[in-house]
Amino acid sequence: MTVELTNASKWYGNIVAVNDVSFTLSAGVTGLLGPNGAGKSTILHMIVGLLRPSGGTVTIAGTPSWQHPTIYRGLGFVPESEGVYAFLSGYEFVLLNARLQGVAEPAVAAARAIGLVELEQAQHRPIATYSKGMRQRAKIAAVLVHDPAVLLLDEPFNGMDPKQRLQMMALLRRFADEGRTVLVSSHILEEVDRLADTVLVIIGGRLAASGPSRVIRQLMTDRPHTFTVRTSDDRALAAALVRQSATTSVEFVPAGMSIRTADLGRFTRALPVLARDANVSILEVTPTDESLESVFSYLVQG
Amino acid sequence: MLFNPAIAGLTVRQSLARRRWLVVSVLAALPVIMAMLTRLYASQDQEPIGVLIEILSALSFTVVVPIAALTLASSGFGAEVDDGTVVYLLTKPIPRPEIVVTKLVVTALIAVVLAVASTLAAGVIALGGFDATRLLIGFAVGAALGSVMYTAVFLALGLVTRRGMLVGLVYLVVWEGALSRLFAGTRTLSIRQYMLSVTDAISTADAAVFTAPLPHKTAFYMSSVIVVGAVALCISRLRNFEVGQSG
Repeated sequence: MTVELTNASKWYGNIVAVNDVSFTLSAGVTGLLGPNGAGKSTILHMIVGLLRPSGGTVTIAGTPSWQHPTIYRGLGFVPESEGVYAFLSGYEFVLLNARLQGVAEPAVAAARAIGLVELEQAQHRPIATYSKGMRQRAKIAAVLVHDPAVLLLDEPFNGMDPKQRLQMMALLRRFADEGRTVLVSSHILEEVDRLADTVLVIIGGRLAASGPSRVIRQLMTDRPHTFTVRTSDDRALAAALVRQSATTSVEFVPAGMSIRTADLGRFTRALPVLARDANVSILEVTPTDESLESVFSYLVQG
Repeated sequence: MLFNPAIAGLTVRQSLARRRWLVVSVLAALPVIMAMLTRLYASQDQEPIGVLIEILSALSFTVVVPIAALTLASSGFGAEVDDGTVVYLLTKPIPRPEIVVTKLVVTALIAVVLAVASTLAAGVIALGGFDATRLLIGFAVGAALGSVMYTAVFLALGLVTRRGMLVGLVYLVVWEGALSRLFAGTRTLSIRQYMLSVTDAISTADAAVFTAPLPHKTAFYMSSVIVVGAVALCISRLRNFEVGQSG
């Protein structure tokens, strides 16, 4: 089942939330990557028919998703919102979704979905008592009951511990391998990088880059990096560093040295070796521009 | 099919969750307690029918029926939009009219059962063996129809404004309370007046003791318009529902 956005835009008065975005999703995991407020949720909500596109079209298997409830037969959407029917137990919540979907054997479907997210232990406790990660798994089980061909998840890893994160990634990978279309939004590069086959980078409501995960990661890591380094003898280490071709510049600043490199991998391998050879102790290494925003802004310029 | 059993079950649990069952039970008990007290302490010359009319029109129709409906309906669409759970209903292959009709029927049914039970119990106690069956039935039917109308209106209100509960209370206190006493014209648009008119129409045998200010025909037509209008509004709002702006 194909999801297709053609020049899709969404604006609220004068504020443009999503601007002229076009892409096609097919089987496999696609990551929707972007900083908070970039328009990821807006795009997801347009795909699932919870927002009317202000311009362009959004279709699922050829059917516009806005005002066509029939699309939900083959689609599952996990919202970011914490809101669940807290007075239900996990099992009741999943069963309710199975009945609302009109599946043939709701109880069987609910039990199977709960097994998939490994929530059996807590399934009869009220959702109100769940941790964030358990709630997230209950929400995911709820959209698996009807075996959807398209699965959309808005920031699904929020609140999960690393182990749950890995389990969930394995589960989503399995869905993709079964030929389903999975779209996952996230503001964390590592999550998307590890999970997705294809990455769509959204910045300021626009599609800034798209391509195979490997290419996007290279785009994001093969760029100048800046570090602030504090050592027992800055000038001795600086002398060794400038001889390295990976170093683009060294500047002495109050906090130590500000070092710029064009090749992150080579630089990080060389730094400890050089320090040892020069008999210098490294006291502190701080990346100065590692915020996701700066990575994204580099991508936009590039 | 306009009725969805899964939504019906959910609606029952939602409307009685968060101690709402306690609020509506206390409300329903108020007229009954009032009737008992008047029976115990009323003076000999007080007419049972007068007591009945006083309790049911001033307490049941003015407070119990509307506030119980408002309490139950506030768990409907308004609360679901607020906490985001409405997404789970909307992302299902269910026609929107089916969602609206099921929610209305179930919520209204709970309100009707409460209102009728409360009205009949209070009425029987207040009358204390005095025969005014038609008047009592009139009040019961009035309470039932009023519950349906209030529920429909308050459910729709939850989809129109995020302050559904507040707007509902203001309507009850200002429009139905103060204004309809001062200006006869506002009675044409008052659910309380339709309830009184229905009671009046059914209790014709006791015409001398109870009359409502609003003509029966007006009440009948306006009630239908209000329920149909509220349902149509709910369906249209759900069809065009857009989630709140987000990242």
